[in-house]
Amino acid sequence: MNIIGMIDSIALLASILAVIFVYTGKWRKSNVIVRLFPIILVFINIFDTISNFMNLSTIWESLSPLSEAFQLILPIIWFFFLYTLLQERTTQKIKEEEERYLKAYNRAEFYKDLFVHDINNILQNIHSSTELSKIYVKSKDNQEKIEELFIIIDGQVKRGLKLISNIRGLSEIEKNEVNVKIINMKPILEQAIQYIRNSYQKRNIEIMVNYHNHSREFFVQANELLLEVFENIMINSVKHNDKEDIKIRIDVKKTKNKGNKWVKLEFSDNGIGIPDEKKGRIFQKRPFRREYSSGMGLGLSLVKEILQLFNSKISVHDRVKGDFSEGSTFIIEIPSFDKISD
Amino acid sequence: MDLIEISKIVIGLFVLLFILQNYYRFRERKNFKIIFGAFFLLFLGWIFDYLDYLYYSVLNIIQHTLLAIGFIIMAIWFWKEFHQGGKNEHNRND
Repeated sequence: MNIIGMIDSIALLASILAVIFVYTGKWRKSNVIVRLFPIILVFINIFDTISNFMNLSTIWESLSPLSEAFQLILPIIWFFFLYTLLQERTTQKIKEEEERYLKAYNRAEFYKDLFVHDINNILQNIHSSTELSKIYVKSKDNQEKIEELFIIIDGQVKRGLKLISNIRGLSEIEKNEVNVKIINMKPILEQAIQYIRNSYQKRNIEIMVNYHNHSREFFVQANELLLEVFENIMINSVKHNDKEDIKIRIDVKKTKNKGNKWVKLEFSDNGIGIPDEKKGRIFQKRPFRREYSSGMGLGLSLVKEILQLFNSKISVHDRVKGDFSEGSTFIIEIPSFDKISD
Repeated sequence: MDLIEISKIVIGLFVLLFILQNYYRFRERKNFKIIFGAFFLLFLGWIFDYLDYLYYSVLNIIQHTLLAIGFIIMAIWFWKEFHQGGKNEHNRND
């Protein structure tokens, strides 16, 4: 075997390998020209190799013009192959753009629904309260009632502000503008508890926190949006609670699961609870939420999205097993770390 | 034969120009540099195919070697494309 023959055999082998790679891989997803391209090259290389091995044979003499024609069409085949690659990319890009626009459209629709529903409610409540105030203000005996109406208005303004803050949080997540770091979770939880106490001063709320493991600090992989998580869960416990004394118990502990460390938070309340059939969909954005979302609209869906960002988990259970009407327990597990990041 | 070799180079040159003209679009495709490298080596091989009359024994070996390397690189591209996935480079921007 001469050296040229050997080199050509390597080229032939490489093109046969290319065919094998195509048809043992994800060939169904690719364009037919891309799939056929290596097969054509194999044929051309077979002719080339034969030409070197059988240079003097009479069979080759008759096949020689065919080989020359193949040589000529080689760059043309390359052109079609490259053109197809380009087209494939263009088609893919159009598909990606369509998906992006659809996502943006759905997001805009979601925010619109949310604003139409929740802001309308908020404005309606403020409007009713101001109308009543106008009536009550005429008599000096109604001072207490007017004060109550102001508290309602104040509550509605806070609700509107919370709605905006939630939407901002979601928007940041969707734009991937969120950085996750290692932070101490304890002050954030305390800040959220303070927020709930300040926001619902007229309601009798008892919040009890139990830190297990005797730890002073609980470092987790999260960021400032964790505050939204805690606030929204506790708002949910207060909003969906018809008891005179609202009780929220928070158990914080460090756990280990399959070699990974977690901080586990259990928020238990004595609210109206969540029936089993609704448990699976309370974290969904739409369309199910609307029918019974009298709170912040997207509170729990935001909670889930934020926690996904932190590689964390959330689940909801009955506080008393088998009786949802005794209240709910939200369990959150966040990846835990020993030290704060730089 | 010369006419075929020259025609091959001329068509190859047009293909090269086509690539260069659309390079910014091709670039978005993952592993494009590999297939471009394969084509470029084949194109060089075609040039040597024409020039080999000058010093046949050496230039002919270079020509065949370039073609063989080109095909090997092409096979690598097919492996990456069909077995490792990743049609394009847009993911980094998503």
